[in-house]
Amino acid sequence: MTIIAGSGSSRHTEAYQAGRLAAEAAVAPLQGHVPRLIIVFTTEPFEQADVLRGIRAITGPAALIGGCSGGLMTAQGIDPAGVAVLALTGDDLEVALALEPGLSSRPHLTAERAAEQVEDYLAEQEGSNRQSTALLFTDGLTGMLAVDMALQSASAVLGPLCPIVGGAAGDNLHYKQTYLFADEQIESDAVALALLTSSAPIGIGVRHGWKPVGRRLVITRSSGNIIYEIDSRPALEIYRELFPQADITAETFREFTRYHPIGFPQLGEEFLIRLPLEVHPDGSIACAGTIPENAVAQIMVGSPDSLLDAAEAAATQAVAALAGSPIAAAIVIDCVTRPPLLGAEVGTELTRIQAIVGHDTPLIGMYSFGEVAADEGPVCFHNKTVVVCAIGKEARTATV
Amino acid sequence: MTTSANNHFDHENELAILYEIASISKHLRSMDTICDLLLDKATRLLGAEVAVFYLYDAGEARLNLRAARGIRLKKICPQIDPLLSEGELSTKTLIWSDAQAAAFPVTPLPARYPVRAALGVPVKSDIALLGWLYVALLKRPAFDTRQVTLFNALADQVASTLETTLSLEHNYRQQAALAEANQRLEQVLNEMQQAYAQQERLIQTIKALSLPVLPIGEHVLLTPLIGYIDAERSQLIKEKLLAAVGHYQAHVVILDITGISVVDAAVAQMLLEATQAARLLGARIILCGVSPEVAEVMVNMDFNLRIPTTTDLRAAMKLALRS
Repeated sequence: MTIIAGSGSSRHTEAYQAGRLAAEAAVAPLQGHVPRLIIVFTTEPFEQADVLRGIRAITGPAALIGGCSGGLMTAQGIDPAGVAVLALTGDDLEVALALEPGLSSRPHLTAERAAEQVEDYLAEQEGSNRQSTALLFTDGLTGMLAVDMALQSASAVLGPLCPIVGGAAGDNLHYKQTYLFADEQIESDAVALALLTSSAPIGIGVRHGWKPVGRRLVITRSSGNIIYEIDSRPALEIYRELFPQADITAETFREFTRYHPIGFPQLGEEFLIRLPLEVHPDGSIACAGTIPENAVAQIMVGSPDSLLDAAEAAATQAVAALAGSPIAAAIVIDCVTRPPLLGAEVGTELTRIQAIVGHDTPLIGMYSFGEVAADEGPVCFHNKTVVVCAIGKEARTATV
Repeated sequence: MTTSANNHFDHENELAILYEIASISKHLRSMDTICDLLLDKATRLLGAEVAVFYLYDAGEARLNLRAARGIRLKKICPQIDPLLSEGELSTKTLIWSDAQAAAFPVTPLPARYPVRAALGVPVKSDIALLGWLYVALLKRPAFDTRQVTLFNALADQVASTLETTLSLEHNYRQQAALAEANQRLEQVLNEMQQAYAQQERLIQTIKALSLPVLPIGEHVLLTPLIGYIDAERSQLIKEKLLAAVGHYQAHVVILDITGISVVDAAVAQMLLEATQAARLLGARIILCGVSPEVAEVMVNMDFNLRIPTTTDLRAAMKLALRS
């Protein structure tokens, strides 16, 4: 049987109703089939438990995973606030769920425990013609430094045959609190994981579209997510030197780096992007994610065109990985800091993705606080990146 | 961008990647740090989907699993055959893809993982094998020549860093062992000093007990002598006896020699000197406990003490109190 999907969203201001209405729209296209997986993205300021109750009223006990985000994407467009639901079903679609709190204090252990909860189920699938993919969501507010470590542990447990895709949950840029969901559980500072197994393929595409500018820099002193020195001088000084006209202060720094992140070259792929978030009194800067020590870096710049091209390329890459299987649904994880650069073109990003995955394809997306993806290489925590996950409708036909 | 500009861009990036690889030598911290850096570069920087590092145990001539990225350690082959460790694996970089007819010489990953391409890179110094890096691809078909070159550079850099770190760790271990030995020595010395002090206290106690001076009546002292009396003890007896005579203003001192194990010339000489000295202080000595054997010895040695003697203590006390 093929995978059937439906997506829906609601801007209703009452949490229960928003959940219920989004779920109704998502379940309607399933042609009476019982949903097997519900993916939920919400925003502030809902009471999240009420949202889930509203969804459950429609979907019944289907496996449910998701989180709170900085904004929503659906096939109908972009919503800064609301509830979005993707419902999936299919005879051979099976799902195992895990939710484990403690991300920031015990990242390795938390991710390991979450992955271990689905490990036995994954082992049962090995040797079959079914593909397993892990949807992984983390707290993007408490876990800036922890996600890299958590991914290492999760990918080790899940092994090299199980791609991981997902993102870091957030809020509407208030940087206060966010939530992860798995079934009826709601946690902050946690890892939520859903293992999808099906004979239908899943394709993943990852691109950011940022390009290096200016001279090469050496991260001469760093630790974790903090860059203390670039070229043996305080990191902030280098930013100021490179952009003298920008009048960079501690207050304006985050706004400036939103358009000028740091990139690290990697073999055969786009640069790894790290978004500097804040300045410390000693001139060091804290970034969203671990910084490679003693690495060469460059300041990156983007344009609406380069970011839109990247979104389209990510969608193309994801669909190509389906190897001929028609697409059943798409999940988009898009960094919450990309829309400011896209400006008036913010809606075009979704349009460009839909042009590839199909305008009628059920789609759900979140504006994330970090993106998680392993396309052809190892799984990685990304910043300022767009990830497209294409879920195939039916098993690939064998080619001779 | 033109092809030439692209090539230049790629070359610049390759240099940047090489710089990051070379920076491993700045991390002479610990084996764990080096393993973390090696696996990070192998996966994030160079694109391996799985990276496994084995450390060479020269004593047992085999490669032991040390760290991995992309797969759990418990799923990986824990050791590699000694013949392979010393042979093919240690001499050259092994490049393999599933397009080749022959299999890769070792299989660190379980057979259920369909590896499409693998590299085995010896991590060795000028003279010795230190470890072995295994990297694999499951989604992509092959490592390209640039990747192979960079993995070799990574292995070389790790080798030199590892060699220095192992040497430093060896030195740290030696220093730690030395410090521990010093600590043990100090502890033994301390224990010996404590034992010596205890022995000294015991000696003082024995000395005090070896010559009890007991006042048994007005100006009458009883001094029972016991054990073996050597020259040192003879001197001590004389000193204490005379001090007691002075202290108690004794007129009579009963020296009970019943408990003396051997009465020889030295003891007889001590008795003679003690008697004379006590007499000078105005005290009279009564020698008690003189057995027939002792009397015979003293006669044979021609000692004439010229003091009253008794065979037992009761007779001596009677004599003392009467006088």
